[in-house]
Amino acid sequence: LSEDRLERLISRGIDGLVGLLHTGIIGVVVIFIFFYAKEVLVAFAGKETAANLALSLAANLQLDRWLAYLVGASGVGYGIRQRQVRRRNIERMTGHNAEVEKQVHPTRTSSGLTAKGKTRREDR
Amino acid sequence: MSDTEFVAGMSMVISLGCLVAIGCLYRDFRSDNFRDQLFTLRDEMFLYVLNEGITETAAHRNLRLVMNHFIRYAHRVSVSRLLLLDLCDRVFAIRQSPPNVYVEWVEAVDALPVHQAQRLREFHDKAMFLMEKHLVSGSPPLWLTYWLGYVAGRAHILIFKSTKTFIDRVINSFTKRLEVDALLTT
Repeated sequence: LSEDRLERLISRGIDGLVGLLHTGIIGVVVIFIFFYAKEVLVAFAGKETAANLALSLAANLQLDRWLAYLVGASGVGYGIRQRQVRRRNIERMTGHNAEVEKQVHPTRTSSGLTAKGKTRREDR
Repeated sequence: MSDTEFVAGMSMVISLGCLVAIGCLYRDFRSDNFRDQLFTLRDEMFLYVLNEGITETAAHRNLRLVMNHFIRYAHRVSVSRLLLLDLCDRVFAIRQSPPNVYVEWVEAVDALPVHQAQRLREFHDKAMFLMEKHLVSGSPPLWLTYWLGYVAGRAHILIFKSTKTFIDRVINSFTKRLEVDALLTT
């Protein structure tokens, strides 16, 4: 095998391994969530399980509330980051086009938005 | 089990489910973000070479090729991959030689006037920096290492300038490995 082919082969192998690892991690987390949900339901049905102690501890520490805060914050963070990328994308896609259009058609009208596609301060 | 405990338990189940979903979405978002930054850089480079009249040179063509490889490779950049690549290099005793695209690019850039060569090297450095950023931002253990290294490095640079060269060399050796992989496999 030439070094290039070996490199490609190794790369493919690593792709498979990393993909398996990611799927495995997600799978383990999902299984844990289902297992945990089952334990909660069993405990709620009245059967004493090891989950009872963990649940009362979680309730006392208000872990559910903190987790909910984390979900909310992560969701908001994700939304903000998406918005940043979208605006950067607008800036990238429209900047050069506008320049060329202006050269071809100098009297063209403009949307009047900022480079990032936001409403101008004076239009608010 | 009290009702309060049941509600707390189920809230945690739902929250964990939501966190997994957000985690999956965020992973895709990171690749999109990296690609978007590379597209921006590539466009910026194109406008520069257009202004300078060097679009048809190997210096531009090959750098564009490199960036296109990075764009296709974005979803594969991860610390786990880097570690596995390094492990395989040691196990199979692979001695990486730079890919032809890169060698040709270096030669073509050297043949350009100094200001153009410098600008094109800057574009390449920026692309490599974006890859480093993408690599570090995707690995929570690296966040801490990065910041500790940054603070220690800054402090040391004040005393010894050679530290900066050393840190640059270490970071470059890691990202160069990913660059070679990107050029050979995508």
